[in-house]
Amino acid sequence: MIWQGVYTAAQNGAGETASDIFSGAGLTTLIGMAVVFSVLLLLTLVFKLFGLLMHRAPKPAAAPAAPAAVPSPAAAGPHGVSPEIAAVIAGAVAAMEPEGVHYQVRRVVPAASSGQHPTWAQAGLLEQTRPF
Amino acid sequence: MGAFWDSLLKLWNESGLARLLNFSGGGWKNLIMIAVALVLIYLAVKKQYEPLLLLPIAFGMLLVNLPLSGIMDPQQNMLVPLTAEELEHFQQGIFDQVYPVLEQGGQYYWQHFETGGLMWYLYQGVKFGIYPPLIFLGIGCMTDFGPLLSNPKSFLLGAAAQLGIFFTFFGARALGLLEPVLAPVFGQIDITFDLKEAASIAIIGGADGPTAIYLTSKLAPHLLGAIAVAAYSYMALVPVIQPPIMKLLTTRKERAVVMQQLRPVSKTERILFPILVTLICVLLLPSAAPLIGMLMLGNLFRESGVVERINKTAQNELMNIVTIFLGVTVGATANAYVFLQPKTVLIIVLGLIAFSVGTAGGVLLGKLMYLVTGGKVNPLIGSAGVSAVPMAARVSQKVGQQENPQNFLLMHAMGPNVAGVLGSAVAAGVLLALFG
Repeated sequence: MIWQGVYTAAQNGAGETASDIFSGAGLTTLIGMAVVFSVLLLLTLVFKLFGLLMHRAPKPAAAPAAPAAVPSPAAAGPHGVSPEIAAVIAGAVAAMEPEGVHYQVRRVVPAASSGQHPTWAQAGLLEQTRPF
Repeated sequence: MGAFWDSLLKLWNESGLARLLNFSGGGWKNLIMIAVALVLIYLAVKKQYEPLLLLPIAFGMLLVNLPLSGIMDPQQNMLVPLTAEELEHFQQGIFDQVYPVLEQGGQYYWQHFETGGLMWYLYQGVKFGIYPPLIFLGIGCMTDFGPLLSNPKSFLLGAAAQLGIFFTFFGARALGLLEPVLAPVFGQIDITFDLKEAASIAIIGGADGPTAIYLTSKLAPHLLGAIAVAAYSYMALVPVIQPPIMKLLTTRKERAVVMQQLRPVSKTERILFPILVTLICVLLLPSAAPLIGMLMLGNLFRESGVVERINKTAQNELMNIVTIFLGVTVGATANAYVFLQPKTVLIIVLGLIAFSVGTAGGVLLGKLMYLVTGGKVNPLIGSAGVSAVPMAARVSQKVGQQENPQNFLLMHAMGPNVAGVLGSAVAAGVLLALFG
């Protein structure tokens, strides 16, 4: 490349003036940023287009699914919590009991999600972003 | 009795401790380096400054600065002429030494082979550019590019944060012009960085350890120790360096922007991403092939879901083994005579400038995006383009939450964060293409 010849001469350090240094370094800065931006801009456009194509493609007709097992109303606990979930929660609470203390689960109510994140996702976010 | 004391004296004179205490012979330099290594070990263990790399780097630095250890001595092949007596014996088929004999131009030589030090052999993986791409393989296996795919504009934020690299290159080159100005105060000092050295120092601004080590090992291996120490120290200091710059360049209103939830990304997109990135980047910039190719290979292992065994190996055992070899050998390049130079202080200062300007570059483009999109983009995520994954993204989250506790920017900031890894690899490819 042309500028490599220029840079090779400059690298030999033979009588570099301030103008040589500023022009060479300035040229490198411009070329470098231009190339980095160009490559990443190209990637932006490619993946933007890609995303549009992926989300515009018609969804294939879903094959008739086998009827899902629906828990009977009698099996689900109050507020839609199944007995299995309630049992798991009771087991988790039991595992947290301090010595000599016994808790009794009287009610299991699904927590209302606040803001735009489901409660479970919010708990994960809080865990990841605790102060450091 | 005299022979006893003579033997003891000889043993003492050939010990490392005697060399260390020989201040007139430069032993004090090794003492300083040992102290620096101990400080770095403290920072790694107690303060947890990037311990996975800083600890092996610090210990490598400690080992190489213990005099006469020979741990970084290169392998030596020497030709020593046979004496007349040895030649006579050789012609009778008797070898006076264990070395093979080479005949060259009618003269006979012993081919002396001196084994190099342990670190010298392990260092060949750095010298030939093998370890950093393998680390990138592991990083690719661990990186989720989903946030980037769901918001491709993040690529541009990753690009903007690389401004720190080129600004620092400019500064490093211009520094030599200050020599005549500083000479009356400091005397004749050498603060000129040539093109390759300036490029190696500038890459610290990419906040990417393997990239910095890869480029420096190719362009200016004598600066590897200083650059690696500076790069990893500043990566650990991202939560300290970035927030003041982010707050200085943004308003409270901008910092409080809540961004729209990211769209889900399909498995097909995730699988095609590494393939397309490799094709585009390597065709445009072949010198970036080792870094980008291995990063994307690792990501393909992860996203394909059909090579779970090698995915696990690459991100665990392989990554850990290579990290040990890379860290220790990079540290072992930091011997007293190379490290204790005025240029080392300048490298540390320039590294800080690189990080700061990179943060500013990302935030400023974030502000532009805020204006162009009518307030939909929070400029704080721009600072995450400095590719210290995931620390820079967590800093964006933390600063954003200070303005609005309900604002969760983490996943939005991960997009520019992982884009910054690509951006710094592309920047390294550019510098390698220009000066390699």
